[in-house]
Amino acid sequence: MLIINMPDETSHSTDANSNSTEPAKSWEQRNPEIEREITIDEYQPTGTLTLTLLYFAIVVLMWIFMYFVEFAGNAPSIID
Amino acid sequence: MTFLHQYPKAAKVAKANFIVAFIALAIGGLFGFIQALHRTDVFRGFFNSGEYYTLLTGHGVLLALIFTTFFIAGLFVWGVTRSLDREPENMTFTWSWFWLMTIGLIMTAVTILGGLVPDSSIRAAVLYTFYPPLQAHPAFYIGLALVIVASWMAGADWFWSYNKWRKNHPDERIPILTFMALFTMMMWYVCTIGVAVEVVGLLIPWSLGWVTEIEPLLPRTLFWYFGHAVVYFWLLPAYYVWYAILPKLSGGRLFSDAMTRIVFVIFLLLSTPVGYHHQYADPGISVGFKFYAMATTMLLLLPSLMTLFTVVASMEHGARQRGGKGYLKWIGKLPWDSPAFVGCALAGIMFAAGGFSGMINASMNINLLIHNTIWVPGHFHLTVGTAVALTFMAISYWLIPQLTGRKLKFKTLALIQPYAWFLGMTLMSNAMHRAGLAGVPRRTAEPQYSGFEFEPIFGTMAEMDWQIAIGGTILTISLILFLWVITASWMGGEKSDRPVDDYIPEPLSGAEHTPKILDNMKLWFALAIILVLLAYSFPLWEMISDGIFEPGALPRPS
Amino acid sequence: MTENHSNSDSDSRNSSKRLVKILVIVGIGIPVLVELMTLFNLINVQIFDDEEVQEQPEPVAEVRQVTEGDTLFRDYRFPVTIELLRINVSAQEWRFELGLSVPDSVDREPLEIELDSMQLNSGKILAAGRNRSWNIQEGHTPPRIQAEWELPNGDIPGTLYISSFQQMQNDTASRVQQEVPLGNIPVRYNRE
Ligand code: HEM
Ligand SMILES: [Cu+2]
Repeated sequence: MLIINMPDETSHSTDANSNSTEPAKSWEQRNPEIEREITIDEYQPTGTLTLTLLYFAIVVLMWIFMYFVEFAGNAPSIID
Repeated sequence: MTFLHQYPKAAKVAKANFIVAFIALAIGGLFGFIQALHRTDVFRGFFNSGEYYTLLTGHGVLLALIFTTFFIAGLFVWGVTRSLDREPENMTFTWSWFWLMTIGLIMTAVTILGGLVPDSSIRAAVLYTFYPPLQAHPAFYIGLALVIVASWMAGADWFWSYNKWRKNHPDERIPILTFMALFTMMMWYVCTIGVAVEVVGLLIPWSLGWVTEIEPLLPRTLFWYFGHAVVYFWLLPAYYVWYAILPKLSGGRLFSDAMTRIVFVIFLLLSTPVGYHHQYADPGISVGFKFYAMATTMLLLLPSLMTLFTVVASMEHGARQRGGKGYLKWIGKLPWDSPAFVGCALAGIMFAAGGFSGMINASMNINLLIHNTIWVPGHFHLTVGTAVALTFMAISYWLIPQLTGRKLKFKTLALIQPYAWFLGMTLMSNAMHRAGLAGVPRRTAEPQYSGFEFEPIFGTMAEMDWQIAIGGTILTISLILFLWVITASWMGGEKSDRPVDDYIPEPLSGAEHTPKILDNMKLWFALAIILVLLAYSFPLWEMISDGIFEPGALPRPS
Repeated sequence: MTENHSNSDSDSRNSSKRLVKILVIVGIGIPVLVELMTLFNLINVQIFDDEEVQEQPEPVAEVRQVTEGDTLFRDYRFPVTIELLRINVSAQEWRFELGLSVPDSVDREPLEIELDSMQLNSGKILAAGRNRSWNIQEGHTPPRIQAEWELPNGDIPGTLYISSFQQMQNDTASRVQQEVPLGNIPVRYNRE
């Protein structure tokens, strides 16, 4: 239904694949800003884990806080 | 060789879309500045309060609907062309959707701006949510309908390219840049059915006077059927940038191809059947359906959290390849001097903050505390106003050179721009959230009432008003910087064969580790339709039996 | 910015490092500070100011605001009811309408009602002008009177000053003035 087929008049398909094939030297080796290449096997995203846990901790804290403000506290609440 | 030289035809289309997007951004942003000064009573000399709603409509429509849609079209033309390695199949078709979309935009914009012309009978101060009882000139709705139809054609264009590509590459995985674009468009097809029915079936006949009475609940429901998914239509292209390009800008690679595809599949499935979470306060919809929408909304947190993890892990990979160490110290090794990187990264941080207020909005009971207060604009300026808009601006610093074959000019100004946006938005949004908690309404030219004082939880009203105005001013300065850098680079940047490093490395964990079933578009599309039917058929049936087609009749108890 | 590495650029690299430092401090530091202050204030108010919050409902002498249907001069012999109170808006004008009625009573004596002035929410005070007093004679007057004023666009009356001359049985007249703080006045649009 979404896929419309029309006669191919001006279709330009080139075989030059310069964007998607990996050159002989890896991108990391060509890039002077990169000190060393880290492969999937040696990569441990510990920093990401730390940040994610921090985010969750903040979410949980805010929820607890919100619970006190909204439901346990004396502040205006919807059911009044 | 950069994109311009390899795909000159696609580059032209993408550039045309970006030009329209940036003009909409400029005008819409100017209106935002005026609003921020007007509603806080810092300066009310530009327009009188009656015209505020015309400006607000212009701001919402030009930024949330027009800027986003055109930018997304340009971005996807770039991504699909490049990843499938083929120019659009038929340039007449491609240009025809571009021009149709532009004609639609002009009709819509003219009706809105007509409200600023004294004694003009052409008006459309109906806000970007445009459902009754507010009524606009028919050309407003017709223009919007054209934009939607043209966006469908754009999607068809990309599916067309994909089908052609598939014939030559029967066994390959869908390239990730195309995968994300096609899934976003499938979601768009599912959700725009709602507005299309609303606009063509109800609003156009009503604005032409053929139908005189409309029960407001039906168009509201149809609008919000579209209205939540549209936020993902804005957001997924930002994710597109974060998944596909940001890792490379950070000096690393996308962490996982499979994770990326799973996230887009979940968004296709769950984006639409949650629309009732914008109607928590609407009578006429059973609380059970609202609860179902709330539960689904909470499920939608999952793909956003997966995105948080994958994108941060990809950035961390980059930082460690650049020599970063430790649990948090690696963050300092990220390229905080690259405008494109900084914009995307700050946009992502704001989005995480928007997640906090989003969870409040999504909770059915707590929502009532902030419903229709300025808290809500405070929230979505973090999401669409920053996560999306700042990402789009930032990635323009990387895309426009590829499309024009010119280097970026004024890199220092370009670097200041995202930081300024982040600062301005924090100030404005923080004060909007706080004012909303005090009950200050949104969409109000003069939120002051005689014999009544708002009571902020802390601080004073005057202090919050000033914070909004100052934040809005910094945002406007940032926007001017952006437009200046882009215009100058576009017109006068140094010509180059390789104006930026546009190479995108393969993911760390590539498509070969991704389950094949994720690429089965028919399956996921069918499931998405089934979920929508489940979520919407019962409530619609309930509304019909409540007499939605007999406007003016007394409600019957159900 | 990421592509310059030659030594001659080392100066500009340093200055760009300094710029990044400033940008990070201003562009990220201030936002973090603002959010932390907000969080601190919220928690502070919530946890430590609880007692104050409870004392809050201090008995403010509440001024009862008058709206449509209310009665003026309630404690006198001839109370006056506000029948109509609204603002009528059309493209050309912004018009305040006021209708009063006097209950029919057998022993009505001559009664005169006068609108002295009104104060608008913008602070302006308007004198009522000509023809703003009504004599209600025994028997042959309509018990209902109505008047309208064209006001500056967008301005809403906050207080009316109305007096009534009440003829007493013992042939003395007494003039009572009442300050009428107005409550919510409905605004109606006239679409032509
Ligand atoms: C220069 C930067 C901006 C400023 C100063 C600004 C200011 C404002 C203000 C003050 C409002 C609230 C008006 C009210 O409810 O009375 C508003 C509403 C809104 N803004 Fe922005 N904004 C800016 C950028 C953006 C961007 C980039 C987007 C989206 C891409 C956006 C989308 C919206 C939307 C959708 C609304 C709601 C309109 C409505 O309620 O109908 N804004 N803006
Ligand atoms: Cu939503």
